[in-house]
Amino acid sequence: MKNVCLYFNLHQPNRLKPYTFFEIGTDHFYEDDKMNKDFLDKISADCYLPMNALMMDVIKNLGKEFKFCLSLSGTLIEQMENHRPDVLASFIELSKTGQVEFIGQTFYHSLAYLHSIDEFERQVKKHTEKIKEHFGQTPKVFRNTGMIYCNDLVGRLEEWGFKGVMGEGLGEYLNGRSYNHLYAAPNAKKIKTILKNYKLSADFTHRFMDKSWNEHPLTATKYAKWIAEDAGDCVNIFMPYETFGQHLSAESGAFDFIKHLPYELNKNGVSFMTASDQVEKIGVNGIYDVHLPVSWRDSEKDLSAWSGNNMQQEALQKLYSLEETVINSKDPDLIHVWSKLQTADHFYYLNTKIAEDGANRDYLSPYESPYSGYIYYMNALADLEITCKERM
Amino acid sequence: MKKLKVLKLGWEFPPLISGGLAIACYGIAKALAKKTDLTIILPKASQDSILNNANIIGLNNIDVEISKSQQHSQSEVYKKYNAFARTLFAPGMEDVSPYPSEEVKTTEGSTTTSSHFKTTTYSNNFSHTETSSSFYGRFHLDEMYGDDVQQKVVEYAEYVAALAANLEFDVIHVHDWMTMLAGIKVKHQSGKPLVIHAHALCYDRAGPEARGWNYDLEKYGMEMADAIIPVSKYTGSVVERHYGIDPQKIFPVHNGVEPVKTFKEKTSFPEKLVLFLGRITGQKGPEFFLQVASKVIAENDNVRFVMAGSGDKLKRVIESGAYRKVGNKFHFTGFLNREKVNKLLAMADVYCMPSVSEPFGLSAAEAAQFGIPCVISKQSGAAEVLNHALTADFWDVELMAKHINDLLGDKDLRERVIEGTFKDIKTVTWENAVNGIMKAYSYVLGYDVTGGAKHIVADTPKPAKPTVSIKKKSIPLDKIQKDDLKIIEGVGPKIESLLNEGGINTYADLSNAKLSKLKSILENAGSRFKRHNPKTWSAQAELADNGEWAALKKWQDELDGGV
Repeated sequence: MKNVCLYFNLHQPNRLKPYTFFEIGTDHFYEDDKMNKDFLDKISADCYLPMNALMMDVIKNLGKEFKFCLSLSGTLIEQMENHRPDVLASFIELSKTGQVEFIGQTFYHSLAYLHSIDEFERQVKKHTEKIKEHFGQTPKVFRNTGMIYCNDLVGRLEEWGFKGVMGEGLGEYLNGRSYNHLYAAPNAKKIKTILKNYKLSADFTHRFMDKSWNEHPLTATKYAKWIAEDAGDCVNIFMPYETFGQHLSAESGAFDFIKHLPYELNKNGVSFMTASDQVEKIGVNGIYDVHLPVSWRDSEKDLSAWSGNNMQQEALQKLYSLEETVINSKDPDLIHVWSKLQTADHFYYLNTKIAEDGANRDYLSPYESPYSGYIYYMNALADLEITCKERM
Repeated sequence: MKKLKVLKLGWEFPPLISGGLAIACYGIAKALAKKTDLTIILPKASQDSILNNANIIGLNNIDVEISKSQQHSQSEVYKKYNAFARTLFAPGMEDVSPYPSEEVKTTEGSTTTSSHFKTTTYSNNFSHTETSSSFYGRFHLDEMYGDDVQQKVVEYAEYVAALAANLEFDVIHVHDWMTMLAGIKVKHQSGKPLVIHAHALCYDRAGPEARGWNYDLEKYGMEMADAIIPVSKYTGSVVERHYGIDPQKIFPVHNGVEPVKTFKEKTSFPEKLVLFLGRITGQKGPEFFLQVASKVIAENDNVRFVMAGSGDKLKRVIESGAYRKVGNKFHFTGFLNREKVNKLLAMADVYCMPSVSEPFGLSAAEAAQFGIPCVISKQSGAAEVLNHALTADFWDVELMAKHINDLLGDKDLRERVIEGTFKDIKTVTWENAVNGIMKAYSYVLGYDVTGGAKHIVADTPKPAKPTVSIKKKSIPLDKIQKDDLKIIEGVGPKIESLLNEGGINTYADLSNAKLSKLKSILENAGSRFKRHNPKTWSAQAELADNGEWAALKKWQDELDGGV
């Protein structure tokens, strides 16, 4: 049986302005509204709008046979609500075809799961509400920020009604088994684990532009053939939607590639599945047992991209130490401000690791350096702390 | 009474300001011009470098005739001088500006990787050339502390000496290492006494272990000087103990503090504010400030700390702050302009200066004027001036933290410190500084030029030694009984002292010494010296003794390790 699941995640953070010491106590708005709008405009023009149009075309041409998955963060949806309702509308158009499944995640694309289960639950539910509001679906499958995954997470998601959860297919837990099957966490009753085929996913996301790669150039024809030939129940190709137009520019040929891929897959007799299709139709192939959280980030596949250094740990610790005061205030504005500071990107910018994809990271950070990012973040947090103190 | 004629050699001077040195030199010059007939030679001067009653000469504005023929007649000067002129770039030269500006342009630690251990040979355009006649030129200095600063220091000395040959003066007064070579040359040329003003030393910039060209030059300069004027007793003790200079000729004189316009501003947060202001480099003790802050924050929820400035330790301090979990209470501003610095001074409740080595510490004096109680390290000149400030050794984190807590919690103490330091500052004037300087002049001249003025700093009375001073001037240079044997290729400072112990003090001594004697001196000193081969030393010394420098240099270029 030849099946493929195309899954795209989408997210934009609310980047902070250079919030200096002198702003503490006087300026309670920490975000660079203009920068965030500019980023949204650019990514909408470079990626969201052309990709939505392209996918819509494929749906029209292939009909019911073509389907795929999207996961939009709550912060992105809010940005579109505020600045680009037209872009949000184009996602709604896609959802109306019934061929797109929306995957659950934390509303603020946060690391809440690692720091506060209460907050994590609030954000998962808030996200579900938001997806329902705009797209008329209740997410059945969940993906955590950064594909952070472990047994405990799976158990909690099952309690909250999820049928499936996504994770990175890591060799050390697969023990020779293929990621092209569904698995179960040891504590799972019914919920199934869907694993990313990182080999084929990275062939496109990481090697498409690599001229030293012996398979270069990668064509949709070749790629569809590989997917068709890869043994197992379903090949899960996961990647950021922003791969198109941001990580891989329009000139790279990425759009042509994705435009032709569905037809090539179709020619090779590969069927398209959503995450929920897999959960409904495919049985589990065994236990996928992950005790401590892992992620899909960097070669370490751990949490070090967000909390590997002292600055990241300090920022996280101080942020979550405000939880009780913020939540007890019952002030929706204060809760919203605090919640937006939880977005994982804020901590990712403070990363001082030298990684293979370091250049990519620099490109995405709005700050001159992790140190400046830390200074601004902690100043903003100091201001929020003062506000919290006043409320107590 | 005839006015004393002073020749002042400077490097920075307003409006060309790199840091605080220009401000200090201007303050001194302004007050000195009222009492003396003052001529100032600067590498660069502009039309704005005008001072009433003083003659300011910018080497960028005049052509100077440099005669090469006269140089051989004073070849003695070149022995050591040439050792400096030849060896450029040495460790400890990364950050040589004496009072570097606090306004570093990024929030990031600047990289200071330039020119470590780069050794080049500077082909001196002026000395040791076979052709004689003269050179007519104008001095150019693009950057005050550029990569070529050492070469420029040597050139500056040549130009100044040529110019000073036609000037009349009673005393030479130079500022820091940039002008020391020039001072030494002019001293030898004129026979007039040399006074060195020490604003900042290699010791302050690079720590007690720093050695190299810069340190050697400072040591040599201060040895050659007739008097040293360090900007504090603290720096005076560094001059004495770290550079081994005779304390009799050290005259500490505190800089004046210009009154600044102050104001008060309320902080926009409820907590009290403790301020650190300065470059974030080891010298300023930023890590100690962080440790102090951690202690205070642990006990006191109602306080914030801010570290204003930038420097090579910034990243490390940021990470340490995160590690110590004070990230929400310990803030960094990075680069700040003057306006923002004043804003911070207007907001701060306590000023903390935990410097590891601080010749003076003008910012503490400014803070005091802003009515901020100060906690400062004992290793600073400011601690001598601000008698009412609370002090602690820079490493005594406990005591610094206690002082800060006391100042934040005890209103009476706070008022006493603010009032006391405010009064302390009033006595710190450039007029007082000049009185101290005149005292140093009296010492080197052998007669009183103070006009009976009392100087408040140099409280240890120094016996005037007129006879020594006059005698010094009358000793012809060729009668100095000790030559610099290190000019001999293969002889370093250690071997030189071994030779001295063996009774070999001059070139003549060395040229007459038997090879067997030299070998036995080395062998007796232990195995590390055995490998030195002294066979060319006598012949080299003979050339040196005869003043045949060109021939010696040519030969030395061919030698490797004196063999």
